[in-house]
Amino acid sequence: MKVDAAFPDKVVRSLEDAVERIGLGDGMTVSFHHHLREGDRVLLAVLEAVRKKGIRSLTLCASSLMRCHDGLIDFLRDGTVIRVDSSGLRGRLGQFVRQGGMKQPVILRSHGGRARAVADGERAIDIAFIAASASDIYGNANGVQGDNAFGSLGYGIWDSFQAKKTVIVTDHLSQSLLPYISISQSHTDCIAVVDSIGSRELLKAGALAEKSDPLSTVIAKNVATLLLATGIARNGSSIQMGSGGVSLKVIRYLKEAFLERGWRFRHAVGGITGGLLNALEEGWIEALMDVQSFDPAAAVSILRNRNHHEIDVNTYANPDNPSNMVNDLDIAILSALEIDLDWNVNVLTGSDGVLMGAIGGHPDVAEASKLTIVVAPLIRERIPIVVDRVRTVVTPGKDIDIFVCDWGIAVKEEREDIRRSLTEKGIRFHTMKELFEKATRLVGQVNKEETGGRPVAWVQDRRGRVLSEIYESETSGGEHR
Amino acid sequence: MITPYLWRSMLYVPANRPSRLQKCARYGADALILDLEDSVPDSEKAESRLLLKQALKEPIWDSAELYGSNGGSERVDLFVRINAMRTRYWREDLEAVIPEEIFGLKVPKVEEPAKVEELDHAISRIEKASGIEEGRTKLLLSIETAKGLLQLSAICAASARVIGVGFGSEDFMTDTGIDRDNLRYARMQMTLVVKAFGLYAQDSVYPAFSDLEGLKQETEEAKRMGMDGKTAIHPNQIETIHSVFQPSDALLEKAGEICRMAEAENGRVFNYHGEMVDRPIVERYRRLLQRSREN
Repeated sequence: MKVDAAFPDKVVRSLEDAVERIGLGDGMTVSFHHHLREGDRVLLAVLEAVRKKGIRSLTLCASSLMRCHDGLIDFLRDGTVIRVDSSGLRGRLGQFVRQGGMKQPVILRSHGGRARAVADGERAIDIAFIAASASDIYGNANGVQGDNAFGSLGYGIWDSFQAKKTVIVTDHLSQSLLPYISISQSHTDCIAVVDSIGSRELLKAGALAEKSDPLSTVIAKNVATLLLATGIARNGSSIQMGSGGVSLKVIRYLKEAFLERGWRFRHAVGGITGGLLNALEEGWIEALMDVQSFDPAAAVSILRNRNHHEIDVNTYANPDNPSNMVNDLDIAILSALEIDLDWNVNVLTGSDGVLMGAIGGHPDVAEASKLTIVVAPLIRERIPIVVDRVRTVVTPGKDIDIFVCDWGIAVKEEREDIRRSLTEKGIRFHTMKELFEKATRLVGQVNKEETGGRPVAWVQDRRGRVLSEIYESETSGGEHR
Repeated sequence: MITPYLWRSMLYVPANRPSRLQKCARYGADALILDLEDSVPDSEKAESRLLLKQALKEPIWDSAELYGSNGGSERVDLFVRINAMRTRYWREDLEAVIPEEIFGLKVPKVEEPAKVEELDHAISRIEKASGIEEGRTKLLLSIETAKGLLQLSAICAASARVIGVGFGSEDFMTDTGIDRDNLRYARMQMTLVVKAFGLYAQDSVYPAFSDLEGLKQETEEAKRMGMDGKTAIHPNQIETIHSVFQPSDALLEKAGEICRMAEAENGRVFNYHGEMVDRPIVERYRRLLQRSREN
């Protein structure tokens, strides 16, 4: 690959040179995004370069960590990295953390919470390493061109604003100016050209694909019936759908009704799936506000469709930003691993405490949206989803309005407006207690081991307060999902 | 004549698959057919019978129907497909499931009225022994042979338990050598006889469960023939079947009258043109009206 530069000092030929050039040193905080999801090959490659330079005791501030980052364990063991912030932990890395592999508890934040933390100095970033599928020789970068185009660079853009220095890591260096710029050359201090940033083919991995499971169809249909019969979904509404299998099916049901009535959502926010891309093209969603793309086709859409907007995570969900998009949400559909009698939701740990998920934008969206619906089966593989008390509170129950499962709909008592509307339409609803009792009759409740002891992870709320603690446990609980 | 039974869809569920039994009530089918016959190999008949008996005692059969009153949901209508009466299994099937107060039996390969009478007596004996109201267990008969089709009038008249007749296309094709494209005559003939008795007429499964367009066409044809519903072999077929079997104007009119009468009777059982109408029936008609309004 020809490496040239308008600003020759910016372009380097290896990650080691980038580490050298940027002045990375012991004890600094480095940041990464997870836009490539399970296809990311940048994070571990950078840490390898860091280790070769003998640099130690870094704080890793990742927007999230996937199974492809299990190799991080080696860098935690040898002290290259000593602190980790993330939105989620899974796989072997999750087990390692839960079994007490780190001295410092991991800090788990929502996407909006992270945007706040890096901006208000709670977690100041020294060096942002930002994988970009394309960069020009000036340092302008995007995620929508090149062989590994992945779509929105929403997390990376905000890091480039906040970090003291920014390294663009790319496998596609353009000699001419990029036609679409997500990160400006003004924020780029170094461009590291590598053979490959990863694989866009794995972009959909890590988010739930549309399931063939008929129960998810039942739940999706219940959601669509609820939204349409009560008039909650109407012409001009805004919505966040989530990336779960149920959400993807809800799109199909809403499409039929919206097209028939000539209605349009004014916009959809957050993670953008293939279903939402289709909806934009079909015209029943006016605009997409894309902080993270779950489908490689989003890259083309951002380039070509003027109503597909790439937004940074500050604009998406930073609670300190009054203009964030989640504040303008009418409807949010979110998933759950557990929900309890007080409507608290856990999306992070299994009932056995195993770290198996990610917070994502869950608490951001739930708090801000005018109506928040949580969807899940009542029982998943003989494990009750409705429980007396969730193991890990990720989203407080005060922010949830409705729970929809395969056994029906539960509506919070405070939402008398929705209860009335459902009654008028002849749609039955339950209390959370009734669904809890149903789940208990069917499969009993899981005996949760006593919590306590040394915390291995803290779950922060959007504003930085500790909401839950995850404690050390010798049992790994095995691999989930 | 309008049948009082409103099942648009009935989903077959193999009785030897516990995980499917656990979930099947929530798929949204109007009724379930828990199958001890074709989907269970001979070597698993005894085990599956026990499994099904146990499952019928579990609290897993509440309907997932959204439309209805608060304060709980009704049990979905349950049928058990027993083994054919020419096998050695059917009596043990009855002994296992009748005491569990199912809605009815789906009876395969019915050919002779005498067999229906025999079945009726056998059920009565078990109902009596189990303290169940005699006549409670209904029969949905399946016509799967040319002989059965020719005897259908006598078969329909053989027991007061008979509430409907279904067509079993796969076995009918095997029995007669008629291919799928030429089953219309037989399906139509079955429907005519069934309607003459005021019974429920049910179409066969559409086996290519991923071909929803083909399913839609066959279901539309069944509806045009006058059939009332269709069996499903996969949950994903239910929605397509329901989309075709929207209620007729006559049925909606009847539902409206029954709901108005129920309100006036204030919970009492009443007579609607010779039909005894009790609470579950009223609830079914009420749901029908609500669904049709939404549609």
